[in-house]
Amino acid sequence: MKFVVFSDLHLDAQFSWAGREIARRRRQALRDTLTRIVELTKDIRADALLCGGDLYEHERFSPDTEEFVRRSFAKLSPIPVLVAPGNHDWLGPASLYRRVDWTPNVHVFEGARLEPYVLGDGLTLWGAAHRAPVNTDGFLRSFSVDRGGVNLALFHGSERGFFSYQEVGKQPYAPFTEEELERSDLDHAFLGHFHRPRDAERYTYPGNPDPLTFGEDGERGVVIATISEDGGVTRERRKVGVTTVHDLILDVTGCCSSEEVRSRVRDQLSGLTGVARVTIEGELAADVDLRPRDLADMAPFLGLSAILPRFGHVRVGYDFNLIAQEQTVRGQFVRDVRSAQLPEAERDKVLAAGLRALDKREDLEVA
Amino acid sequence: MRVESIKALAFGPLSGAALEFAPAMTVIHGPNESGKSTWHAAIYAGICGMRKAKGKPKKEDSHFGDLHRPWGGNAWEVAAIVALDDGRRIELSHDLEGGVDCRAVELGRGLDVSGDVIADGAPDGSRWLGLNRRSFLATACVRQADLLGVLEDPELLQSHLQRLADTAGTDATASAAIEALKQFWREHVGQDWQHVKKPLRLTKARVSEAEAALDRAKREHSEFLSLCGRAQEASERADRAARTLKTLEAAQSVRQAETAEARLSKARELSERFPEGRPTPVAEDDQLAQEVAAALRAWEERPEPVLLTGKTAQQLREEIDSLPERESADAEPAARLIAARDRWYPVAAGASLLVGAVSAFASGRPLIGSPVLLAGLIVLGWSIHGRAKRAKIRNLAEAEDLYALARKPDLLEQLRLRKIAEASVTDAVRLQESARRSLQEVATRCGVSAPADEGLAGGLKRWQRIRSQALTEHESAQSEWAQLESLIDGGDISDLEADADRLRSRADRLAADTNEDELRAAMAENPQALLDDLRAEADAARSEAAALEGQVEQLGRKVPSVPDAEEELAEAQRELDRVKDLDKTLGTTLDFLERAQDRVHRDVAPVLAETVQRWLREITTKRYGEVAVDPETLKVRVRTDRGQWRDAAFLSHGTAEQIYLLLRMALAEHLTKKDGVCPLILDDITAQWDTERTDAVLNILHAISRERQVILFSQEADVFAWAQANLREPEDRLIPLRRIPVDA
Repeated sequence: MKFVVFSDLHLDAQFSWAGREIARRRRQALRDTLTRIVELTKDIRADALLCGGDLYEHERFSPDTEEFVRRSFAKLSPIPVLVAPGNHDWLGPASLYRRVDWTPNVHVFEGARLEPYVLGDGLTLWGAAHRAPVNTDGFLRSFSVDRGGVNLALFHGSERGFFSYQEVGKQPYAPFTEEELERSDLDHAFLGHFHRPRDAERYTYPGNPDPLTFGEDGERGVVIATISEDGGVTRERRKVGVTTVHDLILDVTGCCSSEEVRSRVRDQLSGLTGVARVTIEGELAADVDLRPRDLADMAPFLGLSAILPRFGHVRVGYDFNLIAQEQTVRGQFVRDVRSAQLPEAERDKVLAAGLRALDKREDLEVA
Repeated sequence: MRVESIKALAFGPLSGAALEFAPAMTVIHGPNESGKSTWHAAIYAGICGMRKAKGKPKKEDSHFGDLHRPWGGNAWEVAAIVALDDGRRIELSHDLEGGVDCRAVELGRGLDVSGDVIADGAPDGSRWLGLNRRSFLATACVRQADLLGVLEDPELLQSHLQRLADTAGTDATASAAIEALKQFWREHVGQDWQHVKKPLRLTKARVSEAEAALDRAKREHSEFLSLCGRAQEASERADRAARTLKTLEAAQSVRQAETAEARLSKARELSERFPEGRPTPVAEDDQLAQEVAAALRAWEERPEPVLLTGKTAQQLREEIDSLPERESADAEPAARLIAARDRWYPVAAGASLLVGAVSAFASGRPLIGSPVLLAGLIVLGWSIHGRAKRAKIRNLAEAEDLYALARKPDLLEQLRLRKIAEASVTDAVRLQESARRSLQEVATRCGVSAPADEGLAGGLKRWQRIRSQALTEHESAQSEWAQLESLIDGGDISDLEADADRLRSRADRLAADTNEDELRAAMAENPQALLDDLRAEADAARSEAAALEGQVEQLGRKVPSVPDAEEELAEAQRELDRVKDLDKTLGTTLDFLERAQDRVHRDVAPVLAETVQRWLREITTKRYGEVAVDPETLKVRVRTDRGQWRDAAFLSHGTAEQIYLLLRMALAEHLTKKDGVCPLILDDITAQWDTERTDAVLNILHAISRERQVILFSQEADVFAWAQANLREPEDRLIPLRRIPVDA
């Protein structure tokens, strides 16, 4: 049998790093990704679509998400869609899962313990739900399959051994160990929660299929899992995200004008799509008046949906050593600031602001 | 530093030309169009070169290029040889056009020392003085325009001083910079006061609003979720009630179907019993039946006549009549008679009992009569036996008389009783005869015949049984017929069949959607009793669910987006952080800049005052003897011999210019690093002066040139004359320039 497995789509997630407009587009992109997942499932004639939780965010979901998800899964009918709610889309009385009038092909696991769902002759999928946003015990604790054939699992949980490889701030919800998985006699577990993908021998984390933030590595998307009669799993990863997110560092050292900076941005972002966060670093000529907006406005011309420029440690290209030799207020200012116990970034800003003011410039805000 | 020579390889109209300067004072004199300003610029370019950084050239560089690019050819080159204060001689070569072949080479050793003074991509000789291209120009190079500016606007004197002291040559001052920073702060940060419409206040307000909006969004979303939960629970409750209702309705339907099927079955069964239709009624002979019943009852209750024994009433009468009379009717019986009576009393009692028994039999009460009869016989036998034995010892005659006398009441009583018994027997015979007659009569009417009366009674009883059975059967048939009529209720069997089929079909359909166990359990109960309550409950639950769902839909349309609110808050917070960061940066910058200004002005003020003081009496022909410089504003004041302080900017033009020159020199002194001496390069500064003032200033410059190289460009005849008179080779030099041909 062949399944399409995904997790951690996080519909209706918030994107604090983006402006409102970009954030709204990102949320739309998440929906588009689900549509692509559904289309892929149909296209490859998969036997089922499995979701390992965090399909949406309960604390944020909008009312029309209900209808969107319902329609999306209904399109797959009669292909079964199986969902194991996670900590963000936990199953409660007000849960989207309870409110939606699902088509018969959709099955949402509701138990706090793994429950069987027979997917085919001799193939059982065990699933469970998070029934609260926190404090969900490990699903594999004291669990073992009670039948023969191929036994698979679908749930949202944290494999302890892989936990340390996850992004900062991740909590070990519904933890389990590989030993517990071994003891359970499950042939394989399809999991959600960890956004970083992993294809372990006995379990699979598909990872979030569409970018949620910057710096996401690994081949994230959906997993097309083919199950052999002896329980063996063959995995193929497919990208389904409708957009990509790039996190780039732009060194502006040597740039003597904002046009040169824009040119470098153009060179660096050429051929990319999606959203690009550009962190500007390096030494920028003193005369350059560079505004983030100038770079953000380039997005449509480069075929990007958005450019999010931000200033890293940008040193303004004054020759501080030279100026410091002056017996002028300017020189004194530079000497004083440089000898003060200021953090490097603050020091550079103060120097640049003061020198720009002494140069009668108007761009006194130093990024 | 001293400038030894300048070589204009290709510079403006100059090509391959060179000038060599004296170590102290050099006056270059020439008419208009002799290239004085070009040479002045060439000296500057020869020492400082031009910045070679990438990108768009600075405005002043472009302007410089426009003025001094060679009139022909591609090269733009200038070179200078300078003597540093440490004794080294440096040749500076500048490829001003390409910026490639620019270097500083230490003469004698041939050592490239460009790296020591490289600035913006090209060697800058002013750096050996602690200056840069801009500050060298502002400090060492004094142009006629500078002096004219001071003359036209006295305030410029102070401004010039400030610019030099603050930035060494830009047209900005620290005060202006501070004011610009403050203005920028006012516009881009502003006070955090109520009603202020500046960024800090606005962004804080925006954050507060965003926080409130987020709280509101979360609260409303939470309410939305809560409402969703309640709606869901109500919906599930309604579903459960509906399911239970459905089960019960199914159970009821099954029951109805079963009832209908039973009715049909019964109707079929009944219908089969009455193929001819309604049952024939039984003949109405109730009167005869009653008469038969009465006759039988009379027959069965008829009295049986008692066979009387003993003396008949007639015999007793006769016996009484035969008794002797009494002695006296009024006399009491003799005691002996009473005793005799007492002795015979048991006999009398036995006789009374016998009479009673007879009476009982006569009245048809044999059960009473039999024991009484037995008792009477026993008492009588016993009494007679006792009397008989006692009679042996008495006189029988007396006894007989006495006895007879004593017996009379008893005999009378016996007679009375005998008469009653005989009457009773007579009645019994009469009744028996009557019962027989009735029996025979009704038997005849019923068609019953028998040889004996008992046979007739038995026949009539059979007749009764047969009739009763017929009646019962008829009643049953009637009842069943009525039941059948009730079952079909004006219709026929086919109607019942259709009804049963319909109900069975409905029951099957309803049962198909229910859980078998639940249906079975529901069947065990009485669905009808629960249905009304359950329907009400289901309706209420459905209504509540619908109402809540309506609220959910309504609230769902206006529930604010939580992520939107979160992002708005994040953006507002970022903006506030930016403004706060700017606030901090500007505050720190202002703080440092104001302190630097205070310190430098405080340092430079006495330097200026001292320098001016040194020359003041001489250039003002002793009219002013003391000078003061305000460390805060660098305002210069001079005091007259009479002790009055006057603002230097408002002195006579000549005095102001001279003081300006002194201040420039003082600042050059101040701005140049301590072990360096910056030359003064003056371009036609005496144009507006009379001979006296020119001579005075030239004298001062000449004196200054002992310490600091002075190069003066002029077209004035007074200057030329003064130079011829005062300059001495090799310390000084006068270089005359000729007008440059137009086609040069």
